Amino acid sequence: MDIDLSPQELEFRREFRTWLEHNIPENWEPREARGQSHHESWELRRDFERRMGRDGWLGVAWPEEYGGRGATLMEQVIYQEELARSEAPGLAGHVGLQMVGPILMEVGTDEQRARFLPPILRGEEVWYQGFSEPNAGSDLAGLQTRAVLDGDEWVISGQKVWGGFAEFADWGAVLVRTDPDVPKHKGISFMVVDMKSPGIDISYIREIHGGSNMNEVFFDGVRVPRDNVISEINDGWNAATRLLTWERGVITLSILVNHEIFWERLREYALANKRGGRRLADIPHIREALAQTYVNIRMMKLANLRWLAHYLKGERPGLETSYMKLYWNSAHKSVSDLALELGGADALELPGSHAAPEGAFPVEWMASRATSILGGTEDIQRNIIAERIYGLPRGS
Amino acid sequence: MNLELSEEQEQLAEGLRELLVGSGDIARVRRFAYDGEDRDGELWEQLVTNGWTTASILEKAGGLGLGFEEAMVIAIESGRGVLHLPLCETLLATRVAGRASNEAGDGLVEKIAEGAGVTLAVGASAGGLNDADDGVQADENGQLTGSLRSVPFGPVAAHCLVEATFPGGQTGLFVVSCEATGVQWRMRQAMDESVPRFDLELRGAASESLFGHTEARDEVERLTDEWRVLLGAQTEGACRRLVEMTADYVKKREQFGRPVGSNQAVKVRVAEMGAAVEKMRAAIYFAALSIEQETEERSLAVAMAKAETGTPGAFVATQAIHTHGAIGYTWEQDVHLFVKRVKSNELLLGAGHEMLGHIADILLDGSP
Repeated sequence: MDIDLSPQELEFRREFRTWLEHNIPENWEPREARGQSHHESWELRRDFERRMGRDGWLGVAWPEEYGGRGATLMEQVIYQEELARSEAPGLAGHVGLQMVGPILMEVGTDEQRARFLPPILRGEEVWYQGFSEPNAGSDLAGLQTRAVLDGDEWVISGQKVWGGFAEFADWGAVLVRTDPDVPKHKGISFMVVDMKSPGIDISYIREIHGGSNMNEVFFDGVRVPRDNVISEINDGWNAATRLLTWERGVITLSILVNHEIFWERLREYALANKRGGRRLADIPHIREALAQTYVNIRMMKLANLRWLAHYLKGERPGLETSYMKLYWNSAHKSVSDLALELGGADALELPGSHAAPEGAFPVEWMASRATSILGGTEDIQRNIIAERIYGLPRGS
Repeated sequence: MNLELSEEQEQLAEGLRELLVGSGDIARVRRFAYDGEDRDGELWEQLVTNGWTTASILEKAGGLGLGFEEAMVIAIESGRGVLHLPLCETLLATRVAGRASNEAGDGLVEKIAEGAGVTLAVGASAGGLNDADDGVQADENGQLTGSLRSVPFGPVAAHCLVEATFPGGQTGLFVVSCEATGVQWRMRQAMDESVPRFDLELRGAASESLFGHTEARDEVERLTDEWRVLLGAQTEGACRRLVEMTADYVKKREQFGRPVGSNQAVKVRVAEMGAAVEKMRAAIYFAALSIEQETEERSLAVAMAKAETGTPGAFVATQAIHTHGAIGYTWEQDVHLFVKRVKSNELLLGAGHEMLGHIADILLDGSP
């Protein structure tokens, strides 16, 4: 066993880190961005992303034949870690880069690849992911948005929810029901929708911290060319579930960098602040909470690194991603709970009211409540572990 | 980057597992450890013959020349089989004797190569095992006097490493023959009977010192850290098996006309047990690596492994009892054998809160 990076990997890290140092917009305030809405910083994000595309830092995982860097899996992890560590703006193009692109490479037509891949790599076209619906969350395959063929066009009607960047997106990757008369997984297709089409109505959902980054998207007779189906008709479920597994497999490895950064801030905060005349870092239960939170984050990382060893050998992410989700939630919840405990009464105020660091704590705490829900709830993950890893019978 | 076992290490694990299962597995542990049969010389002999007790001895000295990662693999399997013999202790003694690189060390390694088992009476200075009333003192001639409580295996082993203080008050580490004159063992009734525990009374017992005044303290700490990781590894092995046993049970056991494992409440328990075990595995890998590579993070990594196998280990163990229902509370069911090992390992050499305190010292005060 070893957990060291190779010289090439270290060089890759250095190169990207240097690029980020010189290219993250000066007026970008990552700590303020939490709890804000995307549109408040949209232009800045756009410019940054185009600059990344220009210098070849988008789609690093893509094979060279499609214009990517053909980065190794370890380099992809380093790339994601550095993005997180630099607190750069989150990529608006991630749906295109990490989901639509790889899927098109695998099952798209030559025409689809030629049309859609280059603008994703240049950071020019943004994709919206239209999967979840009001009545199809954990039971995604129960989705009801319908697509009916009318001449040479599909006509889509229904409602999607929880996706982001819909207002800014050029294209939507949307799951629709194309055959209601077969078992639910077998009647779903994966379609490309021009998000500027007539019949699309977009609204925002306001989150518990006040910001609005998720959309409701209504489709009312939206017409889509017949060729805009990715993979075969009624094969959309296979493509979609493949994406979701990938999403958990590699992305969680980078997410924890955010928690590491946050924990370090809390450590500094505990060393610098007092309560009741005592330094926070000298109060026994706070010392233990800091230690336990550190262990939770570090263990999430080590568990992920262990599975990464399997992916590096060529195995595909599988059921272990359910464990990753549970660890992520545990780490995120414990670090955000700790923040409120450290901030005490000061952490009850939101950022706008004063400039102290604890103003960000309640926002972080509120945002952390999403972790047990998004990308497959914690409860679904536990079902997966019990039923598919340990073979317990499905419920009645 | 590779935080996973190699194929050779996987084969090593399978080899020991096959031997232990082939020897009678849990039924054998019950027979010898719980039902009062004499010492299990036969299984020890098999472990010797197949090279398990000499695994950490260099090849040129007649062993397998395996490192600490392999010792961890062996510990995982010994936990999986709640092994009732001092295999892990012997591997640890081999390592520390090898580091001594003197006559006393070489002599002990030679005896291990010939099939001797060794146990460990150390840890007092690390605040863990044997918080004895007065400890053990060595005189100028290396004769040891004093007492240590609750030494695992005691005279089941042939030799014992004893932590004692030199006349000047410095820590030392000494080799004692378990049946030498002036060495007395009194058996205690341990909760985990698969690791019999003994009070050690020394009255001018002859010994050989493994290290000088200056090195011994670090070596005792290192040995204690290595022991913590092997205890954690045993816990991981025991817990992994407990999850498997629990999953098997809830698939078969029916109530209200269906398997109890089809209830989501039961599934949540099994899933959480599995999640705890997978995290333990990563924790002991990282700690073993930090020892193998002698990294600066050793103390932190070991404390994390002990913490992560401690409280979560007890969680898995107690969930296993509960999920088996009333049968899990019986002597007849095997669950309690694993639970007792796991709970004992949690408390030995620093339980969760103590380890978290240690981690906080490192992270907040910059000192271990």
